[in-house]
Amino acid sequence: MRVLGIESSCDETGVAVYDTERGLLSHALFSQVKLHAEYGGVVPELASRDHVRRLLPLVDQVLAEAGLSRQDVDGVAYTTGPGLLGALMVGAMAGRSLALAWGVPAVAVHHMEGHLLAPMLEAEPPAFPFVALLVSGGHTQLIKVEALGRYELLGESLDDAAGEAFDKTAKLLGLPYPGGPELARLAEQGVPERFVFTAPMIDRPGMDFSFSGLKTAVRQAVARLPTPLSEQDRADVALGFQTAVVRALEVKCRRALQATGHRTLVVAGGVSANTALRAALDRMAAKERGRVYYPDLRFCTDNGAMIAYAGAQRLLAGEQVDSAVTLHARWPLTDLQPPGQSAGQAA
Amino acid sequence: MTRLLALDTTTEACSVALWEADGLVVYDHTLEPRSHTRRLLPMVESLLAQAGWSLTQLAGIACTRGPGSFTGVRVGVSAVQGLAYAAELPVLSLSTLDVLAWQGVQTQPECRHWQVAMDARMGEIYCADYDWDPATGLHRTTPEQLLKPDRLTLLAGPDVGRIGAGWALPELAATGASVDAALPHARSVAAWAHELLGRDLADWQPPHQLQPVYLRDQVADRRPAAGG
Repeated sequence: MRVLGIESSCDETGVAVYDTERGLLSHALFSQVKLHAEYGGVVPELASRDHVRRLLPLVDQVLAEAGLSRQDVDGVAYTTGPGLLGALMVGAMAGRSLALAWGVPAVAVHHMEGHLLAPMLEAEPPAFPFVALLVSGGHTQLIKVEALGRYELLGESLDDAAGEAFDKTAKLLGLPYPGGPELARLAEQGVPERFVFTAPMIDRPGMDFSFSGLKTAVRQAVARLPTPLSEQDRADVALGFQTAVVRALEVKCRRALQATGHRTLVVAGGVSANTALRAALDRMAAKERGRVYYPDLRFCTDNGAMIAYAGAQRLLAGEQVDSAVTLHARWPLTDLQPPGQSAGQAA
Repeated sequence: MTRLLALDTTTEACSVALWEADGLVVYDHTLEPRSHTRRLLPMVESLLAQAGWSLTQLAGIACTRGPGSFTGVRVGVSAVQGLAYAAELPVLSLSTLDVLAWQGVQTQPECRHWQVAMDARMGEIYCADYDWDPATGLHRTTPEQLLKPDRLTLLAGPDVGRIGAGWALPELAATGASVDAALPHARSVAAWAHELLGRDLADWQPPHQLQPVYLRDQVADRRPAAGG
């Protein structure tokens, strides 16, 4: 079964074709980062406008690269939440309309389920059950995953998402939007332990996170430095900040593995591309006799491939949605059901 | 035999029409707010089933590309992009203001000059003026514009028609002009498409060229990219 996947929940237009027998056939992405950079953040109306411009050319591109004609698509999957409603609407309406006109089934995909399953696109995919750390600009969650659609929340951020903390700290250090990845690069030049920030909430039980206090601690440390900040000062602060975030994530992931008895940790979302995080989690998992799975770097951030994959799994299990398109700005992952036990949409 | 699917989602109304050479075949509409994404495609499916048509039998799809509610415009444009791309159909991209003017002409053909005003929210209107002559057709005489209502030049005379929900805004209602505060609908989209086809003026486009026309393009404030 060849499934066209469409992602448009925020500032990336992603389209891909996944074949349930041959794997990922093609994928294409248009990132709007430059469009939003001059505003210092994603402008929802501009994001929606750009999705309308980019979508069909990307569909054309992925079909061509997969060597498929328009009639070769057996199903369409599109993100219906969580995300920016206006942005979601573009991909969902176009996706559902494509399915209607092709006369093929359609399925509504939860954006975070897409992220969670992205490591399944790899040559050596993880097997259920596992613990998933979803870590991005919008989410920091630890999820116990028993099977497709069987998710239990173990812990989450009580305030900022980890990726959001990266972006805000980067802004504080004068890095251009979106600063998270830039901050990680800067941290590579930092002197270890010149700035030591307490890893938030590791001294408390449970698996929740908090990153806003850390952001404040960084701001106070920066305020004590001579201005303008030297390149080395910025790198040292960046490293101190990143080390604290990574430590917090590592400690809570270990607790999650211990609490569930699972040996497999799946890490997905934009921050899962972070090299320091990967190194720390790999070390931790080795000690726990476990293993960590990550998506390919191309599929850490938003993309169509993960939506095509997640949609294909639900379509294979017989799930499909009718042509009434329902979108969800907010949509807890734990509201999802295994395929066949819901209409693929939140209640 | 020219069969058309026509739809309009640019205002709080959402409507779909199927049209054949000699007129309207079937039509459906809803005024339920914020329901366009849920209602549009089921309406398309149900009308096609009622008429016993398949998409592949159509000559093309006509839709309003704006101006109108940003979200509403994108619901229709995204749907038509998808339908037309998959069914390999061409698209007729029509101005909502033109469609409203034609809607007016249908009800009051004696009016030779038309002023169309849509409610653009934020105290503004989308508007354009038209001349109508049965021999030469309907012609827009101004650009499509986003205006404060008090900047609109009112045309005078007994043969001036005024249509659109913009005329219900307090500043324009106060002019006392006789108006039809109508919303656009897919019957008029189909009728206007049919008129353009009849006059050999229809500009069929491939679906990816169907793009919204918003008129209001100042939608965000630029801020410094970093710092602060």
